Amino acid sequence: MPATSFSALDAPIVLAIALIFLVPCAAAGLALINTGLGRSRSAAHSMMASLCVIGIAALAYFVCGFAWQGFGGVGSHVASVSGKPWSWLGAGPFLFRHLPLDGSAASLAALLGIFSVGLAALIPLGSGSDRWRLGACCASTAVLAGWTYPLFAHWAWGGGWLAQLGTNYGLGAGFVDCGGAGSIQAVGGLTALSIAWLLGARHGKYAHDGLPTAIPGHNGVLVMLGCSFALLGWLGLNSAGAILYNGVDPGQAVLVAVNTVLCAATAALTAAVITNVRFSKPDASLTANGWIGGLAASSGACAFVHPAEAATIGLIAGVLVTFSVEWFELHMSVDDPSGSVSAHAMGGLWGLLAVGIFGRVPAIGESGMPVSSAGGQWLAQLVGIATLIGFILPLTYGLNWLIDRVSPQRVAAEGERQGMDLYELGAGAYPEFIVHNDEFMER
Amino acid sequence: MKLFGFLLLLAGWGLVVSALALLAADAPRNIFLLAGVGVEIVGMVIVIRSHTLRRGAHD
Repeated sequence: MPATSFSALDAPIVLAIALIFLVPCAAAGLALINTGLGRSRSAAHSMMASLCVIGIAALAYFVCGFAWQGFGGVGSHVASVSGKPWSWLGAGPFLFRHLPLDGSAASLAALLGIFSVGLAALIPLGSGSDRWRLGACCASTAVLAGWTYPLFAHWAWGGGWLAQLGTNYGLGAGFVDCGGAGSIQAVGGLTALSIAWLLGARHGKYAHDGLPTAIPGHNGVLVMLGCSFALLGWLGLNSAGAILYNGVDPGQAVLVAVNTVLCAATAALTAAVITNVRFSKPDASLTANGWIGGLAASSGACAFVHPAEAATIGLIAGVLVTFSVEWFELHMSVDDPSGSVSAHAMGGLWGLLAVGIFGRVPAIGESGMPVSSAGGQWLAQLVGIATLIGFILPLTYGLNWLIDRVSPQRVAAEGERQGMDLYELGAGAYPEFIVHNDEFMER
Repeated sequence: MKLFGFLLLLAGWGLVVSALALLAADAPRNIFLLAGVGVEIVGMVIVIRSHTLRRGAHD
């Protein structure tokens, strides 16, 4: 059989494949950020856990995740509610069976999904840094990639009931999530919050009077390098998501890329200015959190807003992320070393809301035909956000709580004292470094 | 207390979904949607509060 020549492929397919191949850069970026913002004695463990998590996520998604996510509403479990069809779960075959991996839209969605689910699974690693056992994070990832992520991804991207809000109830174009502000960032961020709650704070993080102690990240260079990689990955993620899941014209990838960069830039600069005003010096880790928060926020509306609006979304994301990092740490007693909850959950949820406020999404009427008015889009977005907080958060917390009952997710006190590298891997990332024990002194 | 907070989160989401499924007119549907979001906010506050109290008890 003759091989398919490259010229036989459509240009949009080639573009989509190239964009999807950029997405692993986002995973590399997050892995570097999580490692840099953690302790030096857990650095090798953090990178090892990142690799394992990406691997487990890809396998779980291959086995059952894509089947339950589905694509385009084809082959799904549908319930009729008051005469309206509600697609609530994909019903595709497991193990990618009957899926031609040939550049078809479904195969591109599967490829993007394999990378996206790994990205979502990396987010909780940041909040569980320095105290989350390797086996436990693998088990948690299997549940996230095999069930939680595909379930919401089906609702938002696979032709599920959230995507049908436009055709069923006239709510704009239904729930819109171009690059995964909800499916990837918010689902990962809310899982990160669950993990931070279940694991509890690192030893020495909170003094007896309840005030938090700063435990700075060990390598700012890794963090900043990670931010650069993340931008590259997000350019692919937002563009490919907009083309595949929202039917955006491939030429619009330029608009998506400009909006993504502007959103991240304004968010990071806003964080730098706020920390400079409050602490007399700009804070590098909060600026990095702002950058990632801006990227997460950009994923919601990147294909449907003007660049000036994208910059505004980024500005608000920068304010939101900077203050929420402090709020989570000081008032909610959440020890989140990488700021994952603020950057991904808060940034992602804001990005979804921004679609309803700023987005100009071509609406679909109840007849299924496009209509001129986009009224009700904000309600569709609100329903999506309410689903993430009201259903996905209890679900992911409950599943991780069950894992914790079967096998404790937090490492033993001795492991935290030694560092995760020595305790779980038997060797450190920086063998010539001296381990500091001052965090374990009584205050 | 945390369980109660999570149950309220689910109840709020249930209100949102029920409003969509059962109410056809725009105004009551939107009011029930917002009420569901309100219940979720109360649930979230309780979950957060219970976590903060539990951490305080461990100190």
